[in-house]
Amino acid sequence: MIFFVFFFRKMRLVVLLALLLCSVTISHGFEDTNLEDDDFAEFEQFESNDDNDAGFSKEEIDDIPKVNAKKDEFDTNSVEDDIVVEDEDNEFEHFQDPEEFEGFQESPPRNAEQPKITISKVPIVMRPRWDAYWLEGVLCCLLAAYALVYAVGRAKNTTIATNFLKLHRPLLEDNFTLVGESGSDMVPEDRGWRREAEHCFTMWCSGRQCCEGMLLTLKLIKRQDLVNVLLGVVRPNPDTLLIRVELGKDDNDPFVLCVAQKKVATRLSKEMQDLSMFCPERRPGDKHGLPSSLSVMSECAEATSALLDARVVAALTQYAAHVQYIHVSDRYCGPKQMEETSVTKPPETERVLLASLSLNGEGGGDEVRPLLLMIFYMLDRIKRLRLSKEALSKCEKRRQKAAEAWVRGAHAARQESAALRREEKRKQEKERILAEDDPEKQRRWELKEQKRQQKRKTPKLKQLKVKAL
Amino acid sequence: MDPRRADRERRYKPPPPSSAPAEDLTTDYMNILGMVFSMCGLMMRLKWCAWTAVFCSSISFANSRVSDDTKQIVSSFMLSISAVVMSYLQNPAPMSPPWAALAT
Repeated sequence: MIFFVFFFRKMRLVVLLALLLCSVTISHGFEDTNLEDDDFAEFEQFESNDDNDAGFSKEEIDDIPKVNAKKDEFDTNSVEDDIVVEDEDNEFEHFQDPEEFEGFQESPPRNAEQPKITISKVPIVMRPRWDAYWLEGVLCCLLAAYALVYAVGRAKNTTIATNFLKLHRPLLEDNFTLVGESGSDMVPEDRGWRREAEHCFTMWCSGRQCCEGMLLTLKLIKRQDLVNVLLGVVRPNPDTLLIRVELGKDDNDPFVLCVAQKKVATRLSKEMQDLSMFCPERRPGDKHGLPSSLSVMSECAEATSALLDARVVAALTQYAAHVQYIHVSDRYCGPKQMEETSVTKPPETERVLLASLSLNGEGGGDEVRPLLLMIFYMLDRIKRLRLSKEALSKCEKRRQKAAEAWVRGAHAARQESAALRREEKRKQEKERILAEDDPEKQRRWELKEQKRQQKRKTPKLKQLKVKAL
Repeated sequence: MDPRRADRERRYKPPPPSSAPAEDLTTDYMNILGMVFSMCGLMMRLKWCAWTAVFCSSISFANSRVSDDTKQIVSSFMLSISAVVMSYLQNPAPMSPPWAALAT
């Protein structure tokens, strides 16, 4: 057995040596064939390099006897594989070739000449924290405050309107058969205010003598708008009740009268067409027994004295602070129209009584009822008022004059527009003639134009035919 | 004496526009302003413009009349909010106050 083992070891050595010899002879054989083949002459250099690697393989082979037989078999295979591996390694061999890179490591870099690299401090990029968004937070809070003010203000305005109706509905129902009808969309059982906006409510009342109907407009402070609330702190603005009573055809004589606060009177006399046309004079309230804070603009003194009787004067004196204006007119057509608007037909006029009452803090208190009663009293007075013949004729004359002035104005405006059209037409004709090539035609047109100009310049003379005696 | 007269009842007829009291134009102005600011916010990526547009839309909504076109107010709101969202999507950095820009 021992002999067998010994023999086996010997055999192994012999086999290894035989294999080594074979590999050397094969490699030499390869070299010979390569040398013989001229086609591969250019690869000689690489083959010689392979020889160097072959040395490495030989060293490996020297170590081979130290390992066991199985490993030897593997190594013999690896020797063959090394040839292939060496070929693969050749791909990166040029990195070790000093001639491959010109100037590489010829002059080793000196530390002194190395450029200084300055690394600037870059801030660490992080997600901005929430407290950086403080401005956005403030804006969101403002938006939330606005929404809160909107909800609270809206509710408050609604409460004021409801309270107003609760307080004054009996008085309105005593005077009108129809209270709170404001369009076809209203439910009959739910008559009352009609919401026009969050701060504006309207109510139509009708079915009373001396008038066609009355439109109440409750114009409250814009409590739902934070901006207006803040503005109100700087410049307080009261809640307002606008009353518009439409008068019938036979309900009033032709006259215009206005009692207003001084500032309001100045504004109205400038803005309102009927006041600026029929009431040029603005008189202080003292002359009519009214407080000095009020002004009176009247077309007819007779109407003023008849309308502002003792009861009305007493009421106005007591509640002067709450009365913005009371305007009675048979030719009301609103504020003056802009100059640019073309006048094609006379403005539509109405017979109305307009009143604006400023209400106390929370949408009116004790002052509303007496003032409403005063308005109803005035309506009855207007109905009964009959101007004297003289006053009536004067008022009629003024209306006639105004109508004539309007017709003249309209005629002038029409003429002006016609002249503009003519001028435009002539310009177009001139351009057309100048665009043509015919000089004869141009000359003729120029002559014609000259004649026309001369004719325009010469004054028109009436021809008098004198009969020969 | 009872002043009521059923025979004189008239249906409500809105007063002619010429004689009606001056209309409140705050809604229209704020609507236009909101649109302008929204467009500025969207095009020029100005965050404060987008925020101003949101406030303009809010004021326009609060002052609007019942008869006003709801679509217009809604579109104004949507435009202003989209301006804010877009400006923060493009640049999520927080808005700097105007005095900070003046200081630098």
